[in-house]
Amino acid sequence: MMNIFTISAGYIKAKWMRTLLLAAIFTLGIASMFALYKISNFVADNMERKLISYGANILITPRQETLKISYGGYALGDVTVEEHPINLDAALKAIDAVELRANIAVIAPKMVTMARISGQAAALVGVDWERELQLKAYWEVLGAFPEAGSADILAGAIAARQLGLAPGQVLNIGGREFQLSGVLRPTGSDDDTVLFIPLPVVQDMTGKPGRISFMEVAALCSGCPIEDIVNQLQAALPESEVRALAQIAESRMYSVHFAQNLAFSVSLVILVTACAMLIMSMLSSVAERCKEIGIMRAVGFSRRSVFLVFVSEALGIGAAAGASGYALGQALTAYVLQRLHLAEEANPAFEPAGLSAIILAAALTAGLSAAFPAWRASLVEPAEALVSL
Amino acid sequence: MLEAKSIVKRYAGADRPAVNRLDLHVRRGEFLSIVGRSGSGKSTLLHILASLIKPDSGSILFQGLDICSASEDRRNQLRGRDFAVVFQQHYLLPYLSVLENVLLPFLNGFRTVKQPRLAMARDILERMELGRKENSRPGELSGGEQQRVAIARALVRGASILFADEPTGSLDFATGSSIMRLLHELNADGLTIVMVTHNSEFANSSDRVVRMADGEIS
Repeated sequence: MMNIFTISAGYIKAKWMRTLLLAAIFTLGIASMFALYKISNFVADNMERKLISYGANILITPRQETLKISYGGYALGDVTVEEHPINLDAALKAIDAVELRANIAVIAPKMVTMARISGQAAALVGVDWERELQLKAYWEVLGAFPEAGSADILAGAIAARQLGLAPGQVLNIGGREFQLSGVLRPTGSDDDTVLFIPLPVVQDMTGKPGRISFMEVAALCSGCPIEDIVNQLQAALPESEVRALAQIAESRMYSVHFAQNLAFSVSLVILVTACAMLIMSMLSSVAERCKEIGIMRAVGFSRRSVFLVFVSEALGIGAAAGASGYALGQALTAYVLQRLHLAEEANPAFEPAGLSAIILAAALTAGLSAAFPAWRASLVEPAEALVSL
Repeated sequence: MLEAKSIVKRYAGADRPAVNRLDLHVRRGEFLSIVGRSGSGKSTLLHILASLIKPDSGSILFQGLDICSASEDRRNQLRGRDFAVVFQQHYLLPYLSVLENVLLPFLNGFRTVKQPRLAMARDILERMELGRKENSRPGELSGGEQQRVAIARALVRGASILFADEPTGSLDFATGSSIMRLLHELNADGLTIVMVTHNSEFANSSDRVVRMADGEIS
């Protein structure tokens, strides 16, 4: 099969060392870009997951109007004048409708009350087990975590010690019996001092079905500022107070953006360098092959045909570099993820569509880089080439 | 067949024109030699006739078309189909085989070279006694063989006129003589040939000799 590509293929084969060098540089560029992109995405995702496991970064509480009262030198403290309770179903529905819903990873509703257990006062926090365990991924337990939907309870470390509780024990709370499935290992937070109990139970005990005291929210912040999520939530829940735990949010966003910007910058430098090398190499090739161009023009090649000869060489090199760059990038990604101990969580699987896209993008990039040298080649007049003959 | 009228070509910086108000008529089927000293303008004239250089003024009529005012595409077409050019150096592409070099005029697009054209190229190579070397690289051939491949490349599209610029200039006498024999055979088959040469013996073997001096026919 002979056509215009026969010339490009012949030259590529004849100058295999130059071709190999160019392809190697392009391969390195593509492999680095691919690996950096994949690794930064895996690391960012992983960072997000880890950061989420540090807890919530948004708090939704009922809007309250309080009054500080003192009389005759005696302080009566803050008195709640009006409270706007949160209805769980309505709140969840409102949150589902916000534009940045995809950035909200976990919503953990809670209801707080007090009860007496074996004659001692204890703080009870009603939770949805599935949501709570997703939010508090860092919890460790002695015994077992309650199953989602079960009526079991969980005790904080300090509360368990004060109440003399042990996993497996059955407790009587408000006339109902509950099994203590586990005791949390110390967390250093308020969680140590309370008992966690299914949310519907607390709602029943307080006679406020469907109500909650507050909600903790974990939002993913790599794609948008936390302020935007807070503003949207506030607009959706006008009767509640929505507050960002700014420090946590900002540090999450900074870490994720830093990793991604670094990867983007390095990739850009590598790509520009590879393209510059291809342009220089093609320009020198045009100068070196001036006589060939003259002969091609003398036997009837149009400017477009001469342009195609040079661009097709670059397309071939780009496509080959795209394929090898993908393979090398995959290997590099797997190696780095293994070194970062992320290999088990992130699996850089082979994707035919990704391979095709990279081959196409690499060929196009190389072709575009060669456009200027090829255009210079197409401008050569047979007469000019003949002068050099 | 080809008629040049009042052709003028002056290179930038030159004190006199390389070709000065020159008229020339090339008849169909003739073997015309252009001779003259170095710098007399004979190669420039050949390149103008072959549509490789545009003259500053004047016209060249080929089958009723003024090729000096023809479009770029039409001139490409002429060079690719009707005109054939051979130079002193063969200028074969070293990384292509002999057959691929001969087929070069057909390798200017995405369309694959079909069997009839391959057969035509092989026939020409046979005629040039290079049939068994179609897969060789130009570097594996002698100077005479390389020049014969260059002639085969020039003629593969069935050109009606061959412009030869010192085709024997870089060859020894014996090899040059064999190339001249080949050109006479092609001319006998009806190919019109315009040749520039320094060799008076080769020039005198042609049908007509035109002498140039200072850009004019003397």
